[in-house]
Amino acid sequence: MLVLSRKLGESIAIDDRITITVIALKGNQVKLGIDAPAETKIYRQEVYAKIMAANKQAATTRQQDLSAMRTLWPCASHSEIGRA
Amino acid sequence: MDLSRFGAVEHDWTMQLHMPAGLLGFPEVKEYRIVDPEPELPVKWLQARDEVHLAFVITDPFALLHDYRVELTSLDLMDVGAHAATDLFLVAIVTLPRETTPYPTVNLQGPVLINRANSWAKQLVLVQGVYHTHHPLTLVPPRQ
Repeated sequence: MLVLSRKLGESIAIDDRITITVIALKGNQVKLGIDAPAETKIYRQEVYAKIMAANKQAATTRQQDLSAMRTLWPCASHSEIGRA
Repeated sequence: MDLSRFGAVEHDWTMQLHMPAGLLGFPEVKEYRIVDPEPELPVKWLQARDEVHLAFVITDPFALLHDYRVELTSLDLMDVGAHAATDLFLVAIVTLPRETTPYPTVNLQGPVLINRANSWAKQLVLVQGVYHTHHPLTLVPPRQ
């Protein structure tokens, strides 16, 4: 990991198109300003972690859960989920 | 953006999927196929092509939430090699009941975008909006 020290008001440029500026420092919190093209997706890392965790939890094997699904939809006959 | 509904493509399951970035947490698994062994159930399987023991249950997010909305960026289109939204559709991953959640849930925050034209797919990460990774899956009550 590249580690750079920056003071309040200083910036980091990434790839000519993205600039990250230290806007404020307060206790153990850093406020960052990010300038990037509109199509750049910027997330808090927690969002990624949450979806990763959901994927891991959802990962299954077909044999294992086929019977569970039959129990969930015992009388399903082309009925749609969530439709009344 | 109007995405083709899952139901509209029922005729062409089974299909191969290529996910250049994999699913989050499974970056090394890039080849999947969608299979539908139980057509009477409102779910299908996203099965890893080369790993028998890795599969996900998927469903149509629009059937669950009629006003489900996903904003696609030009980067999303590029990542699945799409020039227009016409060939795109979305599926959502289902978590079957576990000890932690005794009911099935659907991941509406990380749907999978599929380009039907070339079979490329990517998992989206939605930050705007109110969608969650464990949206309760409401089941149609059994017919009497």
